Amino acid sequence: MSTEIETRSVGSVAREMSRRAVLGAGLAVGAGLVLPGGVLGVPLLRPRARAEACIFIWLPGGVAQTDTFDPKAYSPFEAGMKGSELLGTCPSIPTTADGVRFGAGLEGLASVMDRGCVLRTLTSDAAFGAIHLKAQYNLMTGYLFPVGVKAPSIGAVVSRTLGRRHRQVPAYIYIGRDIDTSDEERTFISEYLGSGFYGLEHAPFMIPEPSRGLATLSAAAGMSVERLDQRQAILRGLHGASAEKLRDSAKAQEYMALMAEARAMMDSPVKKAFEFSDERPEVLAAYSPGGALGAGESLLDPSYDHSNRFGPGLLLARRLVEAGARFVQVEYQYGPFKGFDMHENGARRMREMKRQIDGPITRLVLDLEERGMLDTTLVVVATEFGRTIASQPAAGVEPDGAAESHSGEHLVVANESMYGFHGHFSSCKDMLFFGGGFRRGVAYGATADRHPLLPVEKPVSLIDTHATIYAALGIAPDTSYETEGRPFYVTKDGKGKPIAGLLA
Amino acid sequence: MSGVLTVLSPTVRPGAGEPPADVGLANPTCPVMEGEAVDPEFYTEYEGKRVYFCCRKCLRAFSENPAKYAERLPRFQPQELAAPGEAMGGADPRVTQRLFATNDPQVMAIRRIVRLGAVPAPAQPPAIHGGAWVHNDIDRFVVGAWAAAGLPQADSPPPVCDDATFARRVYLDVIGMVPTLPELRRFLEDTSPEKRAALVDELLARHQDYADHWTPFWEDALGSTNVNNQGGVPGRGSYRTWINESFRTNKAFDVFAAELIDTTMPGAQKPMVAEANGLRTRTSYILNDTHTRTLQSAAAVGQVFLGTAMKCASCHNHFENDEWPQDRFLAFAGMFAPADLEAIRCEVKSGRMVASAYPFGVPGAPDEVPSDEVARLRRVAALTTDPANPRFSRSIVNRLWKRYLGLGLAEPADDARDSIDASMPELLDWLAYDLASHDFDLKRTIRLILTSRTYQLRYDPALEDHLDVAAPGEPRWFRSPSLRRLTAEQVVDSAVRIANQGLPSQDRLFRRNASSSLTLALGRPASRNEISTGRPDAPAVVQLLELMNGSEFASLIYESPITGDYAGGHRDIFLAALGREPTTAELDLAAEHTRLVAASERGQATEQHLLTRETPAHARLSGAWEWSGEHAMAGERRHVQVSDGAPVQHYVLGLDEAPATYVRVWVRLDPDNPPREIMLQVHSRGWEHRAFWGDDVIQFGKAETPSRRRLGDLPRAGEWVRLEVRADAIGLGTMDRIEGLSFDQAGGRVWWGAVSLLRVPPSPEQTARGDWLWALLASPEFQYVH
Repeated sequence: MSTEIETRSVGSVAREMSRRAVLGAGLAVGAGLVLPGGVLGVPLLRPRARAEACIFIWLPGGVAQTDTFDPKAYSPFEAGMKGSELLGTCPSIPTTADGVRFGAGLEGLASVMDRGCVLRTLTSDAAFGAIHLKAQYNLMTGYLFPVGVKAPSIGAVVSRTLGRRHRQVPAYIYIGRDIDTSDEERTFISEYLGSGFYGLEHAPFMIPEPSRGLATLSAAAGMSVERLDQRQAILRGLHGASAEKLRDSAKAQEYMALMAEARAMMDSPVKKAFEFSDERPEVLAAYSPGGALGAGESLLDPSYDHSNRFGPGLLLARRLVEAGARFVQVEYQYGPFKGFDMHENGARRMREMKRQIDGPITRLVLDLEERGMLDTTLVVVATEFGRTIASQPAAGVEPDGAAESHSGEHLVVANESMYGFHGHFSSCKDMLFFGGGFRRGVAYGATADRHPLLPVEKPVSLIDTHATIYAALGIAPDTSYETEGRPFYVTKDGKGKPIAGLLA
Repeated sequence: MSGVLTVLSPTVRPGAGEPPADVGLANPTCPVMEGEAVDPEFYTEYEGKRVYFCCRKCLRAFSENPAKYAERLPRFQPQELAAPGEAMGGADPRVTQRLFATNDPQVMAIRRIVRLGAVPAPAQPPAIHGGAWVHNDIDRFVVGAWAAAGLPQADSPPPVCDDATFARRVYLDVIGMVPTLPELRRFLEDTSPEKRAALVDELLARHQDYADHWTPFWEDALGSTNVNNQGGVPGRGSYRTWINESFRTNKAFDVFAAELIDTTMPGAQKPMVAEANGLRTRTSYILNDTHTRTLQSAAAVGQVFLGTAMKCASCHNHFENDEWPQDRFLAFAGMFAPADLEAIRCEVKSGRMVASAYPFGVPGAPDEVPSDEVARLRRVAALTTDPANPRFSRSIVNRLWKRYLGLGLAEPADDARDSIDASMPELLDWLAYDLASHDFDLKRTIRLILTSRTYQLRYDPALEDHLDVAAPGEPRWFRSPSLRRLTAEQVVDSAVRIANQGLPSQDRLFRRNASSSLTLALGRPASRNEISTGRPDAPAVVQLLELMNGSEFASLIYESPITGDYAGGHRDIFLAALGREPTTAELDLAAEHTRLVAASERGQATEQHLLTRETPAHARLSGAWEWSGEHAMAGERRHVQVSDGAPVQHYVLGLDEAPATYVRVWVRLDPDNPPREIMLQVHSRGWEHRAFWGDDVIQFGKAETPSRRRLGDLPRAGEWVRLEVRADAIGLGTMDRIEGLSFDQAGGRVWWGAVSLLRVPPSPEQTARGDWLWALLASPEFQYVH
């Protein structure tokens, strides 16, 4: 990738000169380099943007890679089988990409894999042990918590660096997560999906329930739009009549301008995105598959079913991108010990989860393609870590690093509820990409066929993965913004390097 | 010299900690101070200086006849005893050792006096021509700086703000809320020339309100979290109560800071041991169980209390600030650790240990580093808060200045560097010395600032200073305060206070652990997992949409007594919201709007039936729903429930109905098997909305509150009866959507019939008053301190 960087005419010639002068002086390039008088946040060399929008599909909980995007040998349940013998709870199926196989249950994704690119060797220097949140923070910001600075999430980086695509459509929209800070985990999550030190301007617009839309784009209960506008008129009148000094203040003027912008957004195309009535019934159905495996069956845990938010959330994401959104993140809402966080009955639960995500993601890819948007829209499917067999099947309390060396030789799968991938595996996870300038029909990297399922070919670091996503969007990995008198980079220390083998 | 310390013994309070073992008793042969010992509690002002005595007797003797003792006084005074040369060069090392042996507040009080001797007295304020303009010494420095720079304002100073603006400013700055109508009127009608200073004093004396306003700032700055563990990483725990209490009692600021580091101090919050993910972890402000956490703790102290950012030097020499080579930082951080730290450069271990040392020159302080952890933390607490530490006092007075004027004298306030010029450095030094020499009493400095003419200047965008982050050394002149955005706490607390004309401490926003979309949009962090001394204050579309259309802000306004029952007129509402009288043109806006609303909003009550014929698609039914056409109208259905005496229920969730004024339900009790109690629960962000009839058997919620409200006896059995629940009686506001219903009973058989939501719109006048208040609260005049 580094060879493909093109020079942009951002910044003045003088700054270009000063950078060359610095380079000529033999100082370190990239990490930590701050140009005297340089403008932070506007790197002088930017990669060529391939995608202009991104839909980031976030599947927290730890998706078992061997049941999904990196299948190993199918090893059906036998009472008393050794952990080392458990390599896959489902058969693998071919995909439309040559030589790339997926776990059964992902027939939809397999059918569009010729448009996709799967990264199978996303490693991690840090072993997260039992701690999902630290791994999620890491994936979402690129930094290891605690950082000492409120680190912004990927969406905030994109929002700040690229801004809005459409004047009246928010740059960063987050779908499928409750605004709920009633406990430690939810509080923590609210912070790392936010904009960190970038401030509210780059905070996500939260849409917890796709069916309810973005509540604040409609007038509050009992308020007609006519009355709302009369109320706006009083506000403008008051400001016009207020003390002359305050009226002349640049800050007050900016505030009023943003107020007008907020009002305009209520009539913007973004609002139309919430009206699904113009979608064909079969499209609507594809985004709402339900989670039950068959007629008459119900979910193993019916109390945790976000399929009615996740699928429609993807449809909404597509519609928002059509309307002009820059970055839309859709989460299958995380619940400890729920969903993809499987510590028992992994085989059955994985079948249920695959059923909930396969159809909607597939339909999203096809929809984007049919609309000619796939080339310019990057779809990412991510999780915080992979999974392995567990030394303590139910609890997931392996000490840091245990999973990495666990061969499963001493683990006995005594009953069916122990059959599945119940251990956290920091050392390897998969990430899936469609469109947006990524290569198509390829699998990148290879992992071992026996436990521990470590990367054996082309391991990739998270910061390079972030750098690749940013590169596809035209963001240089050493883009930085100042906080506390120092630059803070969009990839750790500005050191991320885009992976050429992932990009088309 | 040793006499300085002999005072310790007699004044150590019971339980205040062990006195140093080898301190002798005071010589009993006073007056005046034959024992050569002084106690900081006994002092008076003499010829403009504070003089100290060893006991009350000596103080009294001196006060009665100062002339008699004046000549011998100097040699007993700590400043004299520890005059610079002597304290640094000639001080008995054993004295220094003892002074630094403990951070008992009593000892700190002595140490403060002695150690202040090591600090050269700052330059005095310049003489100003036309001094009538000046309120206090702060103004002398400021005007002096204007004169030196040849600014025209030195000769024709800008005007001060009017009384109403001053009142609003000082209420928001000291107690974090706008004044109520009576408070404001009392101040505006006061004709005393000293009323502004009197108001500052009055507000500073509202100890609880004052502490409540400071608490969120320090929670942000310390990284106080309401949990002990975040993301698998041990946190610092919650300091909310400790901060609040510290400010309520106006704890000396050096004691406040020292107690965070040296937890053996009597007022410190003791570390807690918490268990998380099977690991026992210690929770405290200083975390030093790993290399990284030690560095982060040290960096936090450096940033917050010493105003220097060293995080960059965690892994390498600071790229931009040559004050921070990595080793200097590691030496500092080692003071917070049980042992010296290893040099780890960019994650590569070197095997080389860096000797711990305190990196800020603190003249005359001991420079050896104790070997055990407790003593190290004690020492680093003492050195950090030492009056002779060049950074400690300056950092906090600079923060205060920034808090009240909008920008610091030194910027960045978290990263003041020798290489960046501070504005008016003499003023900064003078304020720092003044604070240190007055027992680190923050209220004293705050009072100085708020009563200065500089603080009271009118806001003027043409004169306002701006901070260019690329050139923080550009001078700031403070000829106008900078516009400051209200914090989330100031907005919400003020809005509630306006609405109800009062707000008790327990209801203030800072006490809430959970966030809402409103508090998030206003910039209150959901979690303080990283420290922060300032919140971003730029407005954003997401935030303004929340103010415009968010249900929480709307309910603060449209359900408030000031727009409803209290029915303040437009003038009162304006005065309450913006703190000044409206102009005629402004009142005309309200009158015009009221006419428009009256003409267009001809509200009619509407009734919406639920579940009578079908179950809505989103609804989820739970419990035993037994549908029955019995006793029902054609095409409709009822649900019947039987209880053997124990409480039973069936319920629906997943509804999303607009707020209602009344919830109605029809019931028919079986005359042959009547229940003891029936209850209707409504779900709206929780089930805490319950009405019941009959005996109080079902024990959900709290009796006689909206969570369990008795509305009467059981209705007559054997016939359909309509029960009606006023939404506000069970805590449902006009913005609370109906998300679920539960039908509960104890005993008997009940046919539950039609449920309906009755919506009665507010009167046009009330609606118009709400709109008026909204426009006032959404205006820049409310949203900024100006």
